Amino acid sequence: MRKLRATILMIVIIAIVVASFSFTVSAQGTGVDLTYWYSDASDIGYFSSASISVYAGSNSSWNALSPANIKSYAQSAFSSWSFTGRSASYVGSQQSAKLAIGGITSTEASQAGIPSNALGVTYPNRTYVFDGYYGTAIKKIYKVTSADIVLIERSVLGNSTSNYKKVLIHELGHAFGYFGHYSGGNIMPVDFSGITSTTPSTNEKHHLKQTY
Amino acid sequence: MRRMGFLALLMSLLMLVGCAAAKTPAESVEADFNLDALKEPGGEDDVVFGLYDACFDTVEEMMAGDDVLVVRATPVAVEFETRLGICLILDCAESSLPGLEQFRLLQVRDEYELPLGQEVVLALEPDLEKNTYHILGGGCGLFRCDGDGDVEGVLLDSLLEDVPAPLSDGAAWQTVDLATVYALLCEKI
Repeated sequence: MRKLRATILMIVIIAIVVASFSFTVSAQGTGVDLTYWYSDASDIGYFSSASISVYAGSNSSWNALSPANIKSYAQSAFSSWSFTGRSASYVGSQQSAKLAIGGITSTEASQAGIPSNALGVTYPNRTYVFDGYYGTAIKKIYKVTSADIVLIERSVLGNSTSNYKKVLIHELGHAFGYFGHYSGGNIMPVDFSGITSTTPSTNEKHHLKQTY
Repeated sequence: MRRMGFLALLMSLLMLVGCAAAKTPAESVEADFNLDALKEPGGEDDVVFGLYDACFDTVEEMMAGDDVLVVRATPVAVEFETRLGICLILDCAESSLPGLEQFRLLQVRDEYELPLGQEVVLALEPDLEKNTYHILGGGCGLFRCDGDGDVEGVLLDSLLEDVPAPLSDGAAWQTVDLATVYALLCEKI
């Protein structure tokens, strides 16, 4: 009887090991197979925490960049990328936030080395996890543990809440692991004039959903 | 009675001061954004993404601005850098702006960040500060050599579109060097 139990336990353990191993093995090697690729980059990621502590702050006197408005853009942005299953909890400390979103002046942007034709910038703090295979192409897959996003006072955006909302939805895509840009998309083109909607296109959804 | 009046006045003053000090959450000190956290450069494997105001489909579109200039230049020093951006010093070999020998270039630390010592041809426009520029369209205005010495650039095909044979003949594009790219771009100004 004891021998039977031990055998069953061994079989269960082997089954679990094999199941987890098969998840990380693709036809090409160790990694996962990717069905879609709609980005000019060769990497992709996912935000590791399902519940993300978010800080929204600002040094700008522009109404469109007030902390309250930035928070409302963040709410819209989380909604736009809701298929990732990520949710936001807003915190009052930038230091403790996993996602810090800041409105900054054009002078501060220059002091940070950011050129005046950049409207928003995202820094995802990421760690390489494993490779993915899209056909014969190798794509690196990263885990994003935290991210910083800045929205910059720019006259081309005209202190407009709808414009900054679009910028943040784009930038949150990067923070959520949509690395690179996709000129055919609604949200992830490289330039602001290419953003046509606040909802990701089917291709953009297919692309990012692969890591969630 | 006079004392009561004085107390009422004092209370009113205190209330006024209190109201002035009690800012809404949107204006509170806690809602500032501390950029010091972003001063340190990121790790080697990190990446930064910038959203630009415009990018261009053709060289003609890119060169249509009034303040556009073209340089053949080499980054020689980093003036300062943060996690998000970098300020480089470049020495010009040639410039469409007479007298421009050295300038500052601001860049998001994205895929287009220039390494020191590698000559490039750039289509630029002035940034906010004097003698400071940025590349048009993020990377649209950047032309550089790949590992094999071939010139590459987002708009290289567009630049060479009207160039007569043999340059327009496929593989013959590899014979284009940065000096030629510079000359072709200057013709578009």
